[in-house]
Amino acid sequence: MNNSLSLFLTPEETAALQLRMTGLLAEEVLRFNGGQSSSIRTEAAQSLLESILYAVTAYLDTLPDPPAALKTRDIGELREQGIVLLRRYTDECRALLPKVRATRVQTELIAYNHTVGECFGEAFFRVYDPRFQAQAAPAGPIDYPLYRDDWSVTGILYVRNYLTQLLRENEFCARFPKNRIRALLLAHGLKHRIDYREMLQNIPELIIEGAPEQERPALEHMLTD
Amino acid sequence: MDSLASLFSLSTLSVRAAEAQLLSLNEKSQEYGLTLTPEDAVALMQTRVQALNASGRVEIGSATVGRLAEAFCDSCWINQTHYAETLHELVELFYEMKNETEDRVSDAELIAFMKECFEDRCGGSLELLSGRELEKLAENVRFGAADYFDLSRETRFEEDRFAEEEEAGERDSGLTEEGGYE
Repeated sequence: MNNSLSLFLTPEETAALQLRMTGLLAEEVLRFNGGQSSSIRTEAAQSLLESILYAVTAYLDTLPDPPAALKTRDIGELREQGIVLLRRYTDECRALLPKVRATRVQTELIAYNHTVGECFGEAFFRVYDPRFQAQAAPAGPIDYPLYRDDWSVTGILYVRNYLTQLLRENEFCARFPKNRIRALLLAHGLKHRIDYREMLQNIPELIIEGAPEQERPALEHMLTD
Repeated sequence: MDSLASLFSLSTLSVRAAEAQLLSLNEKSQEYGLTLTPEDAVALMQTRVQALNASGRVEIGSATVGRLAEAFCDSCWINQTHYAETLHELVELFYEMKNETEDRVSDAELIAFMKECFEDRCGGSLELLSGRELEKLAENVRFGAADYFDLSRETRFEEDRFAEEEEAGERDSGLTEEGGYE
């Protein structure tokens, strides 16, 4: 058992939680099969279990005391709340994407343009299923690095964080002339002897590095919560 | 809360539920003079686990074993001597067939089909059930038959094979394309 959770759950509580999860997974297997079969392929069962855990974890992380909630509330109810939360996040991502594209930086940076233009398709949000595949993520790699990237989360939680931050960075970059941004990218490419268009480089990071030292804290503050 | 996954694994969850359900197997079969000893029940659970592993499947609880016992306990071909052994083979066949039929056949349909074939067409022979009727069912599913359970239907494979055999037979007998003899 993971050391952090063992501090909060007694062996009896852990056993009770596992038994409840057994029932929950059995219900989901039947629901997944349309009530037709009590057994499924191992890969499908593993995916279902990961989906349940993803939704539960997503919801618990919004609570002030997650271990206490895990001890006192039914995990099935936590999971349903998680599904509602993930559906809301999906809607938020759908609303963020056109804003990100509308504010996109005019640049020839390939990774940036690919990420903004192609990584987050409407198809992903349309088929995203928080019940049976809550843990799903967009198929393609998200190459463009953010100024502050949160890799502690995955799937739709990561997408939401990413789009929120990218919009913030786009609005930051809009304060600076396009030519200045291009000059910074070009100089960075020359310094490292590579075509700047192929760099995996965060644009605000270059802007901040190129700014006078006394201005950098204020600029950084614009990019973080 | 990234440590939640450490509490749960598929193997832990599956065994816990099976232990809770296993002891109810004898409730109905006793009416037909068939019973399982506690050792038989434990061995069946082991067979179930092995069959699930071999077929790459997971099942929460032991509902399938109970359903098979309930369906077959009134068979005129099963007696107490072979009851446990028959259930072992049926359990293995069942999970194998869930994969062979690509999960397109429900548990209830598959068990009903196995019982009907075992009882009528196969005369109580598990070998015939496995090698003939269930093989036919799997073929029907693979070749997209409209009715999976129609055992009279020739599959495309059989149609091609029969056509080849017919053609070979005609060649051997000297029949020409026009129907005359060379």
